[in-house]
Amino acid sequence: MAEEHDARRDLWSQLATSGAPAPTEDIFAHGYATAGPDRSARFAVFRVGAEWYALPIACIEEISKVFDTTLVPKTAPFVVGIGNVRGRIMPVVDVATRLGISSHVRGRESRMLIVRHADEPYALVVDEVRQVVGLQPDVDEPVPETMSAARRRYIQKLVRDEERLMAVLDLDTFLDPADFVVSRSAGRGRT
Amino acid sequence: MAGRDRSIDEFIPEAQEVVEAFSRSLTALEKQMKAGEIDPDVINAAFRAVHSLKGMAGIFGADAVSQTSHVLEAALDRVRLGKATLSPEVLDDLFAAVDAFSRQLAAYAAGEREVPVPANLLDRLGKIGEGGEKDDEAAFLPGLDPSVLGVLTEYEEHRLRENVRLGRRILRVHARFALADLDVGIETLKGELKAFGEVVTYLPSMDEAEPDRIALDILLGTKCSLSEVAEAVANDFVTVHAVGGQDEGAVDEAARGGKVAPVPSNPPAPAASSRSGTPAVKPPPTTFDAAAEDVAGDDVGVRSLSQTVRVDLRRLDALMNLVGELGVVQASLDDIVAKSEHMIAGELVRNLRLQVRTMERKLSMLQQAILDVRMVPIGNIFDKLGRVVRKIARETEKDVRLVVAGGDTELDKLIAEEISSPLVHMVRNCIDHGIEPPSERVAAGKPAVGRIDLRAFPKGNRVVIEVEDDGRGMDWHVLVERAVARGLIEPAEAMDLSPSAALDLIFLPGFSTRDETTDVSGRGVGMDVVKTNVTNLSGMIDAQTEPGKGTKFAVTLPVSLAIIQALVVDVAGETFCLPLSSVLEATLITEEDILTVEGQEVITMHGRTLPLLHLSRLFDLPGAELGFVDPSQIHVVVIGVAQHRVGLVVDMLRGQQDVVVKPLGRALRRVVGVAGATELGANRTVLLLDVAALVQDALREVTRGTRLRSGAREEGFRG
Repeated sequence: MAEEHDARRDLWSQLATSGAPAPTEDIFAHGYATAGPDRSARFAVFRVGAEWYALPIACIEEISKVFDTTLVPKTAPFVVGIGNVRGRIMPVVDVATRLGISSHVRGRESRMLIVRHADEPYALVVDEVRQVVGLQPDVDEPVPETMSAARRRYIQKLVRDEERLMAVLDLDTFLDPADFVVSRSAGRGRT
Repeated sequence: MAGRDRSIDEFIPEAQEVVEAFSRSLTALEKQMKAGEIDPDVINAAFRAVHSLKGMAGIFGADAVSQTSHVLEAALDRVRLGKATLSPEVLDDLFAAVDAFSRQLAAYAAGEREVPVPANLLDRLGKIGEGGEKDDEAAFLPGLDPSVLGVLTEYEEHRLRENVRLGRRILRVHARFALADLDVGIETLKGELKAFGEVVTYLPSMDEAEPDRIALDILLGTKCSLSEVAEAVANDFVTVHAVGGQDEGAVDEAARGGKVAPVPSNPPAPAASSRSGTPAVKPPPTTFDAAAEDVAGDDVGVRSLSQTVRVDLRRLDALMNLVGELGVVQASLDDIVAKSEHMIAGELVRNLRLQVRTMERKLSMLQQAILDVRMVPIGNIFDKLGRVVRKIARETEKDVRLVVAGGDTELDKLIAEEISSPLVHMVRNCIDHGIEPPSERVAAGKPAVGRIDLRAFPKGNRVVIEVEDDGRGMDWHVLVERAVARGLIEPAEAMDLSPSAALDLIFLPGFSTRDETTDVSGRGVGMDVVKTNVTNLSGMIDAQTEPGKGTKFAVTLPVSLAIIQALVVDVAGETFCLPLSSVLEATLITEEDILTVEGQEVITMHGRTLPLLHLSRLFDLPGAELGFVDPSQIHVVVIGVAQHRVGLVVDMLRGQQDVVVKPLGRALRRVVGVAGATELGANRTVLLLDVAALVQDALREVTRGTRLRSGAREEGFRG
């Protein structure tokens, strides 16, 4: 009886977050199996322009091919629009624009990194997703003073593996809702 | 039944329902008291509601409610047994109990540990009917078998004596019912008998023991003659007899017509005169089936007889979402069928198409069914308003009659909840500002009792709720003066205002027609809050007034929010959905139809001047400055938001569609003019516009522009 009841409760909780992804072949298609050693923090590594960034995989739900987006008026330039992943609507953010990385072209390698932040999904457009690496927590490096203040705002820390140095995004600032919408006064006058 | 572990959360909504049922009974009683004929069924309904409440409170350990309902139940018992008479004072105390329950439930809901028991009120309730006389035992009950009298409950005996006292005839209706349809049979017969008078009791009959039938004796108190009753109900299984000592002898089997068993039966059609004995107001149905108790007697409460299930609204939302998504799947399927037409054999495709179409139909039925489940009659809210009217009328010492129509009009539960406090506010305003004191009314040649009409009726896919009073109305000159005095508009602006535009001033924040703040309304919140609430529901509000005659507000609301009907439009290469509930009409105009008044483009429609807004400009869409696609064919969607009407220019109309609205999330929630997103099939995501916000935002800008210009009026142009 109790089991049956639990199963029903599950159905409703599933329905309540309707559109929640059932695992599909797309999920973690890139190197999820090559996960690093246990008990270390695991990061998804991705490229934006010529720079490498990382996010803890705990906040990543899915890595998807680039999908169509719908423009949302009166939003900041880094807001590409909204996208729809299996019935879930989410804002799509261009990481390069947000970080002020200018020259960059969306190519064959471009991906949507679907992250969950403050219980809501966001899609981040990145140029390439490389792999998931396991990093010991003690390899953090300080954010260099040379990095522009604007960009440093969105960086939590730097991490390093054998190959390269990566900046870990701070989603609290990177996805700050206050930055998404352009205030009225910034709009141009009209008749 | 479950024990004390059942959470208080479960108790509160159930208790609220019962309290509301109780309150409805009181309202009905008050009406009947004024009319001078009280229906014992209504007192009984009130008693039963309180009885259930007491039981519930006991189960859930809500001691304060339990104590209060215990005292109240005893008081009502005395009323129903005739030991206490209903008076306005008694009713006041009973109504006060409704408020006390509401406060107690709110306290439980807020998680308070110490929930107050209204000691003074309990004291007063305890005194109702104190020392009241019991029925005179010796009073003559004609020809009733003493053994029968012995099995009557105190209440039944009281009702029997009461019927005799009122000079009614007591009839014994003997009925035999087939076991199989006993309940239906009793119900039907009871319904028929009620048309003639009061059913005092049901008694199992002693005689004859047909194995497949049960015999009952029903005691009926009626003003009609035996033959009248027999004519209507007698058949092979039902006979009507006089209870001895009265003027007609038993009409025995001869009265039987050729009618067959009680079910199905013809509805009784008694002559108009015979209706005099029937209650004028039937008690509204309560969750606790009144009929059930009569059948089951003391067993009531053991088995739940209600055929309803309480469902969390969120579950319905989840279902609704699911159905919406199925709709998208269905659209893709349709697409696939269309594309594969030349690849699959004709027979197969035809079959496939047929099935897809059937699915489409069933899906839309499912969608409608879920929508229907969410619907509640607006009458629930009207009941609450009835209490508010009563309370405020007393506070302000005005005499007000509330006339309600269309209470069965249905609305989405959420909308109904959201609209209730604006309606309360409007009703408060009616009494406080609209209805004059009795002396003033009489002096003006009006009836001393003020009248407020609450009307609800469906209009297309919308519901209109009207609140109308016959009070002093509003003088638009005064409104304009007031607005200028408050600095809400410039004196120059005021001169150009039409009467209808002046009336719109009451919706401005900070507008109030009274200087002194009364206890009732005028606490700084006013019609602007009402308007905001209505607008948030994609509704409209219109006001009409005539000085000295009264004021009428009409609130137009969409029937439902979850799935909305949308108008799909294209602008500057983008597709948007407009909630159809805000769309009044779509029309084609030419560039020549557009006039410019003080720099603002307007068009004239049906004698009304509408500002023209360009969606592409409001949204700064690329190509917004290019002008019209075809100046001779400009699509304009006329939109109604609160009291405003505006024309919205779009490039193309794509048609109507039912869409499921999804939220945009925290980050994009504050984009002005966008309410959410929706899927239009083929995984296409489209924004759903919040027309209200969009238009208000734009109009604010327009007003600002006008005001700037009006400062430089000399060099400006005037039409």
